[in-house]
Amino acid sequence: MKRAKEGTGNLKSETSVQGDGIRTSDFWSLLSDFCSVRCPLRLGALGVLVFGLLAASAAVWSTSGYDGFVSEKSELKNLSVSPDGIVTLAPRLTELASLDDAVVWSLAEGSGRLYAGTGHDGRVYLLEKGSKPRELFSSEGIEVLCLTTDRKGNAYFATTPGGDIYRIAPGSGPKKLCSTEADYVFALLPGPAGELYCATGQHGKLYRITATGRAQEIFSAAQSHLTSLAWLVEGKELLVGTSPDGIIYRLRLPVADPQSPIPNSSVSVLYDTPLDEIRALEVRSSRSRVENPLVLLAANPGENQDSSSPVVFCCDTAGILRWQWECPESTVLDILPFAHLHSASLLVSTGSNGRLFTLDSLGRASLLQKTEALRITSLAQGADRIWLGTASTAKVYSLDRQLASDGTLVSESYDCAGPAQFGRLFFRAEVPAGSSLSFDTRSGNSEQPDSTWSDWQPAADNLRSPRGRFIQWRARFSSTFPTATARLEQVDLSFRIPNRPPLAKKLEVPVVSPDDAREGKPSPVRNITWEVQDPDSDSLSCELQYSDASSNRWRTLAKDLSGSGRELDTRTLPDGWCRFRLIVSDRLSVPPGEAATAEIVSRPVLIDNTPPRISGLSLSSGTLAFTASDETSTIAACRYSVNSGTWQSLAPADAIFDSSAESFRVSLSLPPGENTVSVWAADACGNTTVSAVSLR
Amino acid sequence: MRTPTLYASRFRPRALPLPLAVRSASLVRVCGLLLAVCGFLFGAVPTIPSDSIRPGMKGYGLSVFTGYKVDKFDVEVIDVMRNVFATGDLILARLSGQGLEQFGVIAGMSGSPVYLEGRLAGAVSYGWRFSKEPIAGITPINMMLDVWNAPSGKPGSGMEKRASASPAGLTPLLVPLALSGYTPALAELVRPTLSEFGFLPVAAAGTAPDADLAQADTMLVPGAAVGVALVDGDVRLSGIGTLTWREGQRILAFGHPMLQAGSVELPMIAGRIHTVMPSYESSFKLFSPSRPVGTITEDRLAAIGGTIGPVPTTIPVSVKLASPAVNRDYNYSVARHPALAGELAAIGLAEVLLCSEGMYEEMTLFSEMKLRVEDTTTVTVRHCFAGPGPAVDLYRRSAQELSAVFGNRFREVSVTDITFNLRFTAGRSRMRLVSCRPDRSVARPGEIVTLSLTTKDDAGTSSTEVRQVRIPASAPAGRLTVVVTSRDSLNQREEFGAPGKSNPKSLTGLWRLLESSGRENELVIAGYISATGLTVVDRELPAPPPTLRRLIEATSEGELVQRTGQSKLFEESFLLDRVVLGTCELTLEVRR
Repeated sequence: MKRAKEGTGNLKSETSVQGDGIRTSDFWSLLSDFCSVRCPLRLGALGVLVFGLLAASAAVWSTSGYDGFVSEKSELKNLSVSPDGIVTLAPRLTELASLDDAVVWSLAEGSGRLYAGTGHDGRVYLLEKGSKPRELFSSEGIEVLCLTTDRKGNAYFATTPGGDIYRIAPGSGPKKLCSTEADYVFALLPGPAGELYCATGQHGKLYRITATGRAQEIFSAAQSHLTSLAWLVEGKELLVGTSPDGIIYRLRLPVADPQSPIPNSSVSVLYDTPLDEIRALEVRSSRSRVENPLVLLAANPGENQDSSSPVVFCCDTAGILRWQWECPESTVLDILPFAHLHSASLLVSTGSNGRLFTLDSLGRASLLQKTEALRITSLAQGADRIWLGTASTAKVYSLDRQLASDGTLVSESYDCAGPAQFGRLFFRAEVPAGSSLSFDTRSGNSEQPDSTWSDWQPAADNLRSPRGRFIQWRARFSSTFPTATARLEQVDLSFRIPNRPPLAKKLEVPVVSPDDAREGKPSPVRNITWEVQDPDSDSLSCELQYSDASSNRWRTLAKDLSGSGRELDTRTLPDGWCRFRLIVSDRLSVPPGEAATAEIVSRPVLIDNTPPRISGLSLSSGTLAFTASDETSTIAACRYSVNSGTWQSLAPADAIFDSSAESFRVSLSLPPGENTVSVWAADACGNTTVSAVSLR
Repeated sequence: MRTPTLYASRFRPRALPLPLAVRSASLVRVCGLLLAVCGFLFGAVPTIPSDSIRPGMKGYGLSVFTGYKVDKFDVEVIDVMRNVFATGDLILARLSGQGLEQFGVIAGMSGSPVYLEGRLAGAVSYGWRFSKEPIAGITPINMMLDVWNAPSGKPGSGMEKRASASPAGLTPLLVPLALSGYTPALAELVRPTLSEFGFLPVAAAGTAPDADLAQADTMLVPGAAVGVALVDGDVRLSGIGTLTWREGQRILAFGHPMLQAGSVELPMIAGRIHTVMPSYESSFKLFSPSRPVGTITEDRLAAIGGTIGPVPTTIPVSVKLASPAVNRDYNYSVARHPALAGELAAIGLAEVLLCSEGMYEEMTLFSEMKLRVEDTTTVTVRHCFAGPGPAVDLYRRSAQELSAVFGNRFREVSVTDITFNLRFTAGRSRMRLVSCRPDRSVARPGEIVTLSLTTKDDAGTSSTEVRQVRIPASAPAGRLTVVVTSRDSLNQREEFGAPGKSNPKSLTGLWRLLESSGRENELVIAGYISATGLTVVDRELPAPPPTLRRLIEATSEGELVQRTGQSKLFEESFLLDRVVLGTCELTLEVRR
């Protein structure tokens, strides 16, 4: 979090715009009124940003970019978000039917009739606009995972488990065509000669079923499941997606006897994904003869690939990867090439949040729509619209070319980190004629909006939402023309919270270690360190103070310290026990009168820069005697040396160095002649002294 | 005096002249008897409400003790137990005459009308087992007449076994159940089941003579034997009690429920009483049933009710039996009742088997039961039993399976017919799996693995046979558990691994479960991989792709979806002429 200093300004903004042309709420010009310094903000790479406005407690919560508008906690309804973060009204989503089932597995339209296959009671419906869904088939404990239609208007569906294949001729009910006795039937694909190709599991078998219902196994993969089918070249080359190895097989069908098994020489691997399961497979035909078709496939991670995300791959017919898109949702459920909506090329339906994405020709994702149901399990191309089937609440929707008449975007609940006073809401948007865009805000003190939050208030010149720690905004799009929509790029909301005091967390003054003291290594210069911080990230200045242990009168040693430590020469201080105090202040970042301070006091520290004294030094009859004493600290060590020889340690008479005066008495075996004995003593702060005595 | 409201306007009873009733008790008895015998012709009889009955009142009752003759016995009121039932009282009375002092209250007297002061008081219905005196409970007639006012429901919707004893051990009198082909072994076999429903199985001499049958309509008077034909044909099973009250073609009997099943459609019979069999536990009437003479339509707390005339449809059962001893077809039919039909069909099967085959012979029995349900579905259940008395095993399994069909919790099914094809062979044909060794421990998809199975017969003779299974080309790398066992054992094993599979959630699931059950002579070799599977409703989805599994689990509610720890990869089965016992399990490693 970055903050600048100082200031509020007088804002002029529009938070509700009726489009009468292209208008933009010029945030930057307003910001220049508001702030004395323009913040270096770059669009495009932003998610949610908060930046300071020259005041320690004033900030702007800025939302822009795809990730800013589309997050786990934001709610979008009838809105699309482009890869560069432009929010617009979404294509109109209309609920066609709500089914008394758990999941709509499959949808197919043929001859103007829409069929839906469901689970877990294995129903097949005929859905017609304006009338109730007509149940054509039902079987408890059955999943109708796939449905397809051929050019003659026949619909086909299969049962899982059991592998029964049914045909619904136009105007009649389902009739069993044949049974593959497979545990799963994942995909059905009609061929040009009235035949049907059927992808099954768990033995990875592909069947060709004639129009008369004769089923023949024509391919068996070394895979458990054949999960998807698509024509690469209709009637000649078939693509098959699999699980658990996530492979796309390319099969060249035999010409002479199409009902015969496909020889191994006609089977090749087009693409092997790193994921376990091919969920959906489509071939997008090229518009020109020069360009080859593209293979689009959606793959999901397997049981042991929890760290992987679902991916949509795009490769060419040579198996060369053109692009791939890592899906932010937990599961990709279906894909569908389309040319009706926007300029995107592939629809991707997902699980967990009911989001429908589009991928353009470079694999860039837009959020296109969102359903109330959490999972969009199936997509189907209609004559003039897209059909969506959902799970959890089993519904069928249509997605039109026209845009929705209104939409809303509710932002996440933003934590201002304190009881904030709210300023204004700015946005950058184009609002063409026939469209409008307005904003509301609400605030509260709990992260999840609840009954304690304020009501939504229109975002006027000054936000009317009461002071609170959390705030949310809501953008409301509406349009009176089916093709007109506002285009929202960025939303900024200014707020101000009371200054919070800094924190003084640690103050450390090093002491002379016992080892150093015994070695006579004093540390007159101490490196005093501290740790301070400010919850508002304010700039902090520190003042270091000193007091002797008895007086409690504090004397300033240094001021305006900005670092985290300072060297102190203790020789400038009198000997004795003392304490240090650090006072930290955010006065550098906040207006006068609002500064806050914090302080921390060190433990008592012994300052002793005076060496000990040696007295009563005598040497007679080979006995050395003396007393070592210190005014401030205890005696830590004592040694002697005979005739400048090696220093020998001495123990005090009471055997323990624990007093400020220690007596020593030791018998020496001196060589004949004159001898000089030197005595060395050190105190607890490493100060030392030497004295000598001679004896002839 | 209470007049039943049903016919109060049309048949308003005329009160007996009071002086006549007071002056001579014997005259009252004579008049009462006349009224009782002729009452059904006029549809009206004076009744006495229970709150007018006092201790010490004397009267008489009617019942048949031998032949068809309605005889009178004496009744003295001991007391009236108030509000024994939510709907009324129970009259306690001491019975005497007709040897009742010796017999006690007789099973089969249920419904015997009791008259006090010349007015119908109720029906003998309750008693105490091992009672030292013939003290009976009498259901008041007003409670019984209310049976006709009960709201009629769908026939066969009730499924109640006989309630336990009332206060102080008071129990409804047992209904003697005449069982053709009665043998001690058969009685022992079926007694537990029948006792649960309050029936006392006794031997039947046969069908009542046709001449008697012709007169059944006129013989069905208060005090006459009347009952229910549960099984008819080559096998017969009929329960008998006493008729309490007749109005036109309508009758009331028993004074207590048979199953308290509410509205029913069961064949009504008359019966000839051969004698009363004294018993310390409970004396009973030995009788022979007539052919059906009407329909029992009500089975309620205070009485059973019915109509003399058309008889209801029953479920035909055919048993085609081929054995070294006999080669014959048997045909019988069972009453359509959800709680009873399955048990009755099985009891009929037991009688056929026990009458045809030795009880303890070493035999092997191959059975095939076919149920045609609503003319659209045929369910086939196969079994193979070997050992002494395989018939008993078949009876028990068939009773369970048929009860599962008739008593299913999904909806009432109309079974068109039941056919048993039974084949006995001499000797006990069984083999026990001792060991199974594969020819390799590592296999690749598509390879054939040869299994050497060592088996032993009952004599302990070992033999080895070789079976081959192909590892599917789709087999994933990893551990493959191969189980060799019988179909029956495999089903039990899978019940643990995939509990949802053995708990049908629909009729279709029940049919599937029944058809996969049994088959004790089918050797199965099945391979399982350690992949999470699912059961959805009662269907197994082995090792589904991860997305499908997550979606099914996320979109299912309650117990509809359950996880399984293993998933079946393949299964091969071999039909043998022996029962397969034991299980062998081995592990292969699949490498791709």
